[in-house]
Amino acid sequence: MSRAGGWLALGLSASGCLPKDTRPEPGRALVSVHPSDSLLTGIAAEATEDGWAIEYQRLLIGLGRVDLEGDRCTVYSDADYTRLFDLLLPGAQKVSEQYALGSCDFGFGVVPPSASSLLGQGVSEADAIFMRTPPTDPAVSRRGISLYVEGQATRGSARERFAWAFRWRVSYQDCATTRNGELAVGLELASGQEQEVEIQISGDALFRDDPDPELAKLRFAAFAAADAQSGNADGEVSLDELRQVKLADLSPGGGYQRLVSAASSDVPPFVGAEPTLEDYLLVSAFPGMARFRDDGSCVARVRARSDDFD
Amino acid sequence: MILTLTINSDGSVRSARATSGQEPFASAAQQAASGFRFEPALRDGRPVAATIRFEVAFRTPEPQAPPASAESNPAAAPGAAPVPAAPLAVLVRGQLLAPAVSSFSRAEVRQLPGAFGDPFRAIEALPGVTPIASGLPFFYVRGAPPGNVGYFLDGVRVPYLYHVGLGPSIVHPGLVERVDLYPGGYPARFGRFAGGIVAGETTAPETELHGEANLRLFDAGLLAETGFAAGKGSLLLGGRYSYTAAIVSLLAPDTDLAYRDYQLRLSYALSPNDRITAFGFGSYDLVAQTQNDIYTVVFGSEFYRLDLRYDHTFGADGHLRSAVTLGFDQTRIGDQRNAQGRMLALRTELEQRLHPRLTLRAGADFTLDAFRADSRTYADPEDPDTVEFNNLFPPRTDLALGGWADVVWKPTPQLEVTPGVRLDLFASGGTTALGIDPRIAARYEISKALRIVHAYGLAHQPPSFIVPIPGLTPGKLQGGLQTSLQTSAGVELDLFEATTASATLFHNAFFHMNDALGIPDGTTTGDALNQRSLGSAEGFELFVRRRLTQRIGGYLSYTLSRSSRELGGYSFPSAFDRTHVGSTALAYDLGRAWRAGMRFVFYTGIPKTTPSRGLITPPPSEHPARDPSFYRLDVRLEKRWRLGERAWISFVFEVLNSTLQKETFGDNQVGPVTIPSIGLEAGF
Repeated sequence: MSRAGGWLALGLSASGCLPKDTRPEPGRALVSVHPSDSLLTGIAAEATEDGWAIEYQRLLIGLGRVDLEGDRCTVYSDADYTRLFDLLLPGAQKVSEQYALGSCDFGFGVVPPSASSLLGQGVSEADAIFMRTPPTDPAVSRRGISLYVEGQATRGSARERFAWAFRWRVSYQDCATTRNGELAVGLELASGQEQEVEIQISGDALFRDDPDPELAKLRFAAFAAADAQSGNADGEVSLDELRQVKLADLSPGGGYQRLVSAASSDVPPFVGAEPTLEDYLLVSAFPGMARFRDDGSCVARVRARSDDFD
Repeated sequence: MILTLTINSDGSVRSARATSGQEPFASAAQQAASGFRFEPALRDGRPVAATIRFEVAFRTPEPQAPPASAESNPAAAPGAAPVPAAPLAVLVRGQLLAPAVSSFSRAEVRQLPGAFGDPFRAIEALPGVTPIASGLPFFYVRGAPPGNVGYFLDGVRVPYLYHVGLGPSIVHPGLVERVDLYPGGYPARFGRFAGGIVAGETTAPETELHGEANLRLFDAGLLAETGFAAGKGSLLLGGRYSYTAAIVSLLAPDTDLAYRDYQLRLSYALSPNDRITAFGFGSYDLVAQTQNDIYTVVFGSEFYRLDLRYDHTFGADGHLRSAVTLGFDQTRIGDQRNAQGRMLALRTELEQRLHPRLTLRAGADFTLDAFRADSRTYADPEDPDTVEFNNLFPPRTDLALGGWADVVWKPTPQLEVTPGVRLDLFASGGTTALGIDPRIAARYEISKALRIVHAYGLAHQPPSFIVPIPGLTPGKLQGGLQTSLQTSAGVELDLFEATTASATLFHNAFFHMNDALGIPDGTTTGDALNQRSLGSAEGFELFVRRRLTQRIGGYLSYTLSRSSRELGGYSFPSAFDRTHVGSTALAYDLGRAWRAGMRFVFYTGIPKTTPSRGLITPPPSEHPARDPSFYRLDVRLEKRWRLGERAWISFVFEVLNSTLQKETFGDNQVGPVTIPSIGLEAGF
């Protein structure tokens, strides 16, 4: 090669002066979601206080926005995309994989899917379009559906169907679990190590009668009554019918009443002065469906508007 | 060309300023006049200083004729007359500015408050230029997004001209002779960009030792040039080094901020008509932080160019330049990986006077760009962002082959017409595309002081990124070339002393443009970076200017425009459409070598948008509400001391946005973005 050619080759193979990547190898967190047994097999009549047996027939959920952060956490990648899952299929499905190093706070979100959301196992494009379609009334929401559940409850010859579309978004932050009796907040990601982070979607949560899972019993009677007694008795419990039922009027009130007595700062602003059964479902029950590492918990915040949470 | 000269009692020229005439002749005449020697004026038989008016006439060099001469007008200078025994010969080589171009000389920009003496920062003062945000040197030019604006230095394409966004320009100001903005309908020489062209020209090589230095709060710069080999050669070294890292580390120990640049020019005259030049320059920017003992580059970019040129002049009639350019671009992108571009370019340009009224300009160029981005070592391979990036920026080699020609034709002394055409063949990722760009510009002199200017042209460009970033060019040629049809018509008027005015109407139409920045959030879904849209921009520009180097100088620049996009059957204003953009500056010589200036910048707000991510996107409004207007005041104060005959030193205090105004974007207030600068400048 001539001298000029050598200079040319040198110029074209230059690598510049920017510093090399000197970071140590990060830890890897593989985040997955799986359904609880009650989603797959239903809730037996014996498991509820009022003898209703509950069965899920369809459950679609938009999940993702996994977020690692914290002063002692060095984030290497930010895979904050979302996926749309059919969680009546058994087994764990990938949410995302994250790379970071150190002690990281862990958060995620249940949100309506976007055009760029990935589709989980068994989810069709038609499902995605259904979930992304906003309601006709923009005053209700301009968003699609973050959680859609369909199912039925039976007690003797009584049968009530339900098909609920939740358009609210739930942000789960500061997730923690208890390990060996000690509270473990977030994730501890060491260099070169890999750990799995499971998120469980619980079928029980929608029908707990108390925001506190430790105190809650499973009930369906109040929902059935919303259709059969105060509603149009068409055999389907709608969110509109639940909106007509004031929690203060429920008997037995049980843990439902805790939402009435909760401090206003704990309740999203869209809940009125007289909370309804729909409010309870949205504010207390719906956020309780997602569990961090099966037995962990997160600070869940329900957002009605998209611009609060992006 | 009329100069006002102040003659010292020893006959040397103390100062020279042009009181009429156009660039580049004004600057050339001023520069030449500083070397004149006069017989001093006498009072009571003793030599005294005097001020005279002095006419310099330029005329077109005739074949085999002596160079253009500067003629004195002794009658106009009572009390002082040039030495008759030594006829003065001044050879000025320069291009008469093309129609519809706006230009700033470096001498003028030095006086422009808020430009920090950087010629390239003065661009935002020109009409047709719409800022994205105050202080941020990325602009829309007559509706064309920043990614469609091409930057050239001596004909060499560069990715950008400023350090770390808000910083100074990437070449020492002392090296820049002139900066031209071609907002549309530009000469056929310029291509491969569908928006405006910002072209910087460096100073001609000088053999006399000279230099400049500046020391500011955040950086220091130096430029020196000297001759060698009995005046056949010249060597120039320049550069700037920022010591912000040391300052920032005091305030934010975890943050690292650095920028630097260099310029090197070695030129040698092989013969009176042949010259070879090697011009190398480069720029480096880095923002990094250390967290938990881990060093992470937040932003880093660099580029380097080596331009090897051969220039040949055909007497006074023509000029040929052939050049080879090597380039290396690199930017740190997400996950601490780099996107790189390597460039090999060849170009040749010929300018030949065929007839006193006809000049041919022609050229050809070939560019090879090899792009490569490191793979994401630590990333979710299914992340749509990763997939989209890899899809948009695949490793590849792009080719561009172009040829162009135009003629500057003066069928009558009053009319100058420049028809031309440019052909570009692009190849990328197995796709080829051809751009055929006819151009025509005309200037008609109605009277000595009034001219009509028209410029029309078609321009093509491969897909572009949101803003120009080194090494980050999309590879989506299969989506077609971006195309713009640029039209403008206006008048130029010479007013009173050294004051000119221009008024221009323009209309640009854009086809297949991928202006991700101009499409409001929520209007598009999916691959926003590769979204193609239609666009248009119409407007009126007014520019009144008295050169800032005058004792009282200033300008008024105003643009009334509407820039819109059409996508999915809807038409809506561009996300950075600003209806009114104006600025005005005043620079005043306070006497005793003090000079003060201020600039007032005003523009109206951009359209408000409501993002929506649902399936049904609400149609974008044709007349949306807008953010509040913004204004700012820049100030500059300079005191200069002369040290001997040639040397000088200045104290300069300058502030961009001295009133600490904040800018509003949506519901967020940003800033105040205020850039103070205090320092010393010196030269000899």
